[in-house]
Amino acid sequence: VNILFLSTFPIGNASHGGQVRIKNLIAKYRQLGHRVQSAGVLGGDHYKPEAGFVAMPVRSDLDSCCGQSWLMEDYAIGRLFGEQAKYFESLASQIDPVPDLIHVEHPWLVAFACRFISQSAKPTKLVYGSANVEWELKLRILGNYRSRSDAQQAAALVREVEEAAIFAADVVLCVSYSDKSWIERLRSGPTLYVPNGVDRRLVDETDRRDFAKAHRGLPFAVYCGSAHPPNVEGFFDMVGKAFGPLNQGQRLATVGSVGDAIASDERVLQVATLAKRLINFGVVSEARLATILDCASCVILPITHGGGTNLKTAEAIWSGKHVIATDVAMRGFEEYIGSAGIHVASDAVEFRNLIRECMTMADPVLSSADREHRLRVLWEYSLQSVAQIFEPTASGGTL
Amino acid sequence: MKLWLNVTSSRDWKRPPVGVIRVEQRIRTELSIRLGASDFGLCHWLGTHFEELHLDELTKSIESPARASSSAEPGEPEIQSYTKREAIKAILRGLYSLSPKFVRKILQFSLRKVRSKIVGLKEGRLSRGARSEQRGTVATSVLAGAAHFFKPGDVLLSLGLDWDHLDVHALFSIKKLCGIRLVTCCYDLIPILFPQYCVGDVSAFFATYFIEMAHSSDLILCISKQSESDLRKFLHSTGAPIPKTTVFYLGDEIPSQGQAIDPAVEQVVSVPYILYVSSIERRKNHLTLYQAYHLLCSQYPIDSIPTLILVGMPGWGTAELLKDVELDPLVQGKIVILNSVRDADLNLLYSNALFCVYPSFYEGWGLPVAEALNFGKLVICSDQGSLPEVGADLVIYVSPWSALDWARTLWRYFDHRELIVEHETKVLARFEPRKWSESARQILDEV
Repeated sequence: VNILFLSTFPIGNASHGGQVRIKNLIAKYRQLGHRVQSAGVLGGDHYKPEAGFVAMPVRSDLDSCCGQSWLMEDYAIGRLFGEQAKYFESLASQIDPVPDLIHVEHPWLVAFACRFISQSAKPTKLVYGSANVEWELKLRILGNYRSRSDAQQAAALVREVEEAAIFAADVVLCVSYSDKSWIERLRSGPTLYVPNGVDRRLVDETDRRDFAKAHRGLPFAVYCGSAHPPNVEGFFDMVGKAFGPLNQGQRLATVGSVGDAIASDERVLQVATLAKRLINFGVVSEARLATILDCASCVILPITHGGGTNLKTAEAIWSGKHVIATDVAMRGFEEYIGSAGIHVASDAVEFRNLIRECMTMADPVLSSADREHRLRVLWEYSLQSVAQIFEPTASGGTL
Repeated sequence: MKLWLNVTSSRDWKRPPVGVIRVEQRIRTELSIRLGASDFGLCHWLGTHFEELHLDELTKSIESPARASSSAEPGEPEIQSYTKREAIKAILRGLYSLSPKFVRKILQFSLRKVRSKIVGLKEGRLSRGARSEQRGTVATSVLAGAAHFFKPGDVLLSLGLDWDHLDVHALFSIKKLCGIRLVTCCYDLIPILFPQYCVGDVSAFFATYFIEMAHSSDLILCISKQSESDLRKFLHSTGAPIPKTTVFYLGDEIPSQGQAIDPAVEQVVSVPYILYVSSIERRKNHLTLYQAYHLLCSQYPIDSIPTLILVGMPGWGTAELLKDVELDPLVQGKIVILNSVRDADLNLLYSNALFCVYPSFYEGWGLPVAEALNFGKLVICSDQGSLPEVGADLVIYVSPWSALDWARTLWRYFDHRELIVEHETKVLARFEPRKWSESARQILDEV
C-alpha cells in the first residue's frame, strides 16, 4: 500500500513527542511492508527544511484565517492549505504517486487531504491520527493568554475542524481510552487505541561515569519535556509558590526544550528555592537522556493540561525509576497506576511531598511480572494495533 | 556534647533589646547560669563561617543603647536615631514607596535578578545551561572554617534574626560537615501569611528561609502553638520535611536593675494614660486605635480621655498615619510616641498605665500582652493569631477590624474605672508569669 503521511512538523530530527510518535508510526507502516511518503507543512519557524515539507505561511496570511493567529497557527495552516489554491497546490506538488491511504496526524491537514482525495480518481482511504482532544487543549492554552470569550471562540473553530476530521476518516487512531470514548460518541466507524510508547534505551557505562563525575553525584529529580506550553504551565502549577521537597544538596533537573522555557520564565525567580535547585541539561542526545534517567532519583510528570497521552510517561515508566505523576500525565497508562514506583498525586501538595519522599528511596524493586508488563510501553508493543487498519473489515473488504 | 548559642543578632544590635533580641539575650543569660563553660559556648557568624565569641567580647560589641526619647511636644512623632545602615535602608524604602508603580515593578525585577546572581556567585555557582552540571552546594573552602571548633554531636542553637544574619543555605552543609545537631526557632510566618504588611514582597524570601531551615534543623522551637501550626501547615504545603517541633514559651519578666528613669518618661507617666507597646507598623494596627481615639475625642470631653502612649519604633508604611496623628486637631496632645525605651522606663510605663491595649492583626506570640498581664494589668486585645493563647480568658477581646468597637470598649473602661480594678484583681489572682529560666529549661529539656 502506498501511504502518504501528512503532518505539521518534520521528522528528520525528531525531538518532541509528536515528532517521535510520527517517526514510529511511519516505521511501523514500513515494517508492515507498506511504502510511506512523509509530507506536510513546517508548522513553526524553528523547524529545519525537509523534503516533502513546505514552508510555514507568512504571518499575515495566517492572521487572515482567524484574526489573531498566535497560538492558532496550526488551525490557520489547516485553513490555508485546505481552502486556498496557492497553498493547496504547493503541498500537493510535493506528493509523488497518488496514495492508497493518507494518514493525517492531528486534524489540521485533514481538509487538505479530503480536497486532494476528491481531486483524484483513486478511492484513497483516510486515517486520522488523533493525539489529543485538540479543542479542549486549545481552550486551556488560550485561556492563559486571551479573554475567556476569545478563547472559547477559538476553541469552537478548532472543534469544528477536529469533528470534521473524525467524521471524514475511515479509521481514527487515538492515544488514550478517554479520547477513544469521546471519538466513539461522534462516529461509529473503526477507532483504534494506539498508545504512545518509548524506545528501548541502553545506558553506556562510560557515559554514566562521566556524567556522575561532572554532576558530583548530586541526587536529582528529572523532568523531561518539550517547550509545549502545557508542559511549562503544568510545571509551575505543580511546584507552587514555594518549592520545598529538595534539600540544599539535591536538584531538580530539566531535560529538553522545556528546560529553556522554564529557565527563561520570570516565575522561576518568584518560586521560593526553585532557582537554587534547578539545573537545566537542555536538549540532549538519546544516549545522554538514557544516562540522565538512569542517574535520576525520580522522574516527575507535572502535566496538568491536555488530552492525549504523554510520551514522557512511557519513558518514565520504562526507566524503572520512581515516577511522580499527575492523573493527567497517567492518561493512557492507567494500567500502571499502583505498580511499583508509580506514584500518582491527587494535587500539587501531594505531588511535592511525593518528590521529597522519593528522593531518599532506593529504586523500586520490579518483579518479573512488573518488568514484563512494562515491555508494553515500548513502541514495538504500543503500535501493534496499527496492523488492524489493513485487516479485513466487516464488509469483507480491506483498506 | 557542647551547646553553642549563636549570638550574631545580639552582637549586631545597637538599641535596647526588643523582641527576638530580647529572647536571644535572655536565653543566653539563663543558659550560662545553668551550664558550665565546658557545656555551653557562644558563637557568631562571620559571613562564611562561625567563630567562638566570648561573653566579654559580646558585651563590648553591644554599645550602650540610646536613652528614651519622646516627641518634643505631645502627639508629635519624634525623629529617631538610626544607625548608618538603618538610615540608608529607611531612605531607600522611602524612595521606593514614593516611586511610581511601574518603577517599583522594574526595581523588584532587577533586585530579584541581582539577588539571584549574588547568591549564585556566593555559592561559586555557574550560570544555568550547559555549565549547570558543574554546580554544587556551598563551596568546601567556605565551610572549612566551620569545623575548627564544632565537634560531632555538638548542638548549635540559633534563636536570632537568622533570616538577616545567617546563610541558612550554608548551614545545611556545615551541619553535614561537622556532624552537629541544629536547633532553630520559628517566631512567626507573618511575611508569608501577611506579605501585605511587609516592605516589598518578601514572602518568597521568607518561604525560602523556612524551607532551608526545615531541611537543616533537627528541632524547631516555636514560640506559640499558633506559630507551630502555621509552620507545619506551610512546610507541608511546600513539600518540605517537617522536622520535630516544640513550643517553648517566652518569659514575661522585664529586668531593670540599676537603670535610672528617663525624664521624658517621668513626664508622660504623670497623667493618666493607656499603653500600647509595639513597633509602629501596619500589621500592629495602630490605625484602628487612632481612629477609636478620634471617635472618642469627637464625642466626649477631652479631659475624660487618658493619653495614649505608643512605645515603639516607627517602621515602614506608617508615615501617613503618623502625619494624621500629628495634624488631627481632635487628638492633639492625646497620643504620645516614645522610642528607644529602656527596660526600667518600660517597667514604669507598665506599672503606671491605666491599662494596656494590643489591636494587632496578627502575632506569632504577643509578648507585650504577657508582660502587661505580669504587671497585673487589664489588656484590651485583638482576637487574632496567637493572642488568645497568651491572654486566655484574662484579657478583653475586640476585633481589630472595628474602630467603633474599640472606641466603645475603651470608653467603657475610661468611664467605669472600677471595672479596671475589678479586672486587675482577676489578673493578679490567676495570671501565672512565665520566667525566662523556665523558657531556658524547656529548651534544654528538648535539646
